[in-house]
Amino acid sequence: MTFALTYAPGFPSTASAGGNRGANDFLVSQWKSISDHLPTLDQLAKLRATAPPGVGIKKMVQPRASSFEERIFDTLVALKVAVSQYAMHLGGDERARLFEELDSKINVEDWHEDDTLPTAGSFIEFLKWMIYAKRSEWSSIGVSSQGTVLVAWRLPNVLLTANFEAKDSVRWTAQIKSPAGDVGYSVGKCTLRLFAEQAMFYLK
Amino acid sequence: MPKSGEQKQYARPPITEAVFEFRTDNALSNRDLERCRDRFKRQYEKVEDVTDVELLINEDGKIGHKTTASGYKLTASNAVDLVLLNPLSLATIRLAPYSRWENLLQTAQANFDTFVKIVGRRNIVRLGSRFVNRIDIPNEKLAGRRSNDFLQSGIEVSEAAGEVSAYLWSVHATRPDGIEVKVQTGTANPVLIDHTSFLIDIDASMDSGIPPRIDDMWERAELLRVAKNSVFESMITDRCRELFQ
Repeated sequence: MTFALTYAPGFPSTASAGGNRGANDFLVSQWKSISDHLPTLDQLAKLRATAPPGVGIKKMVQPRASSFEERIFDTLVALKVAVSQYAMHLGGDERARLFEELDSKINVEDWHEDDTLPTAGSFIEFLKWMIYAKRSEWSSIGVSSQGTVLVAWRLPNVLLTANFEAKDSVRWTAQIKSPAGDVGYSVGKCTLRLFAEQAMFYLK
Repeated sequence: MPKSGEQKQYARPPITEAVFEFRTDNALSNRDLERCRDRFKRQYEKVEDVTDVELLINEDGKIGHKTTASGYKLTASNAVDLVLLNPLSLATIRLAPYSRWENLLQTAQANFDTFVKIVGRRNIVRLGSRFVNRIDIPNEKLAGRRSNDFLQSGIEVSEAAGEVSAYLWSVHATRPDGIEVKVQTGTANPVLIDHTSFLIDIDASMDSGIPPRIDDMWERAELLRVAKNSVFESMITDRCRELFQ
């Protein structure tokens, strides 16, 4: 949770989608719901110990109570906003390809109201990995039942899949076929950096 | 280094958010705010409520809080164009990839026209433009160097304090042309693997001398562009420019 206080607002600032940022609090895509921002008792206790008397104001952004269609749309927008935070590291074509894939996967027709919608956090881990590994030749993007992002790479003799399950954690599977038709399977769980090495081996 | 205020075009500008905002002297009623929201929703379909959460810290250490609805954040389906609508202001926002000032201003002008159509002409008391830049420097390029090799500004701390791993500073200044500038800069949460990120948040504004004629007002807004460009270019080195050229 990020929770920043402005004790003495001083000079008024121009509005920003990210609000008044601190060093660790400037990504739009990291914004959370209002309930995430309200301080816990522990945090209030710490605040009490350190804060001078005064007033602190924090702007919060809260999604409106919305229909299923709106939740689908909001999720799609949230994932695209995540892409925008990495836009300077992605080519225009790659960004367009990601948007096209998201549009084709996150839609009212293919989702049920009870489904867990994809989380921006998992998608961001994939983006970070893709930029780090310099591998943008993914074949398809999907979503697990937990809302984490699944990515597949298909080559004539290799199928590599990855589940960006948590911060800096990937579960992956690899299926490799020899020229003689033998099939080998591998699975693993590792950090983003190590998964870049694994992918380099299978997708070489 | 570009001349002061010169518009420099970068292939991959590090701007994560560009804002143009105008403020009025007369707060919108809730009804007008809702009418604006409903009209802008045609272009910016995702609507979120913006709420002020006020924490009150008393002398005895007791803390209370209260929440107040303060406006709306609307996001277009392209996920990079937004407006922030508040009783006293309308901000037009472009997230990355940022293209040109002219495009931002064109959108801001269109939003201003829409705003005026809905609630009528208001007295503009402040114009502001805020550019949030995030400079992602590969750690291998930082190795053996100091952040000052990339950024012209920073902080000096006594060696007794050890090596600085994070900092944040904020400064407010008034330029000779009357433009108020607020700069916040510092380290930021790294968003890429093996990179160090720095934030340069430049807020240029004017709250006096705003011409009542609309055309003149937009012309004067160019001063904000000059100010934000001058400040940004003066804060980075050529080595830094190479990262996004």
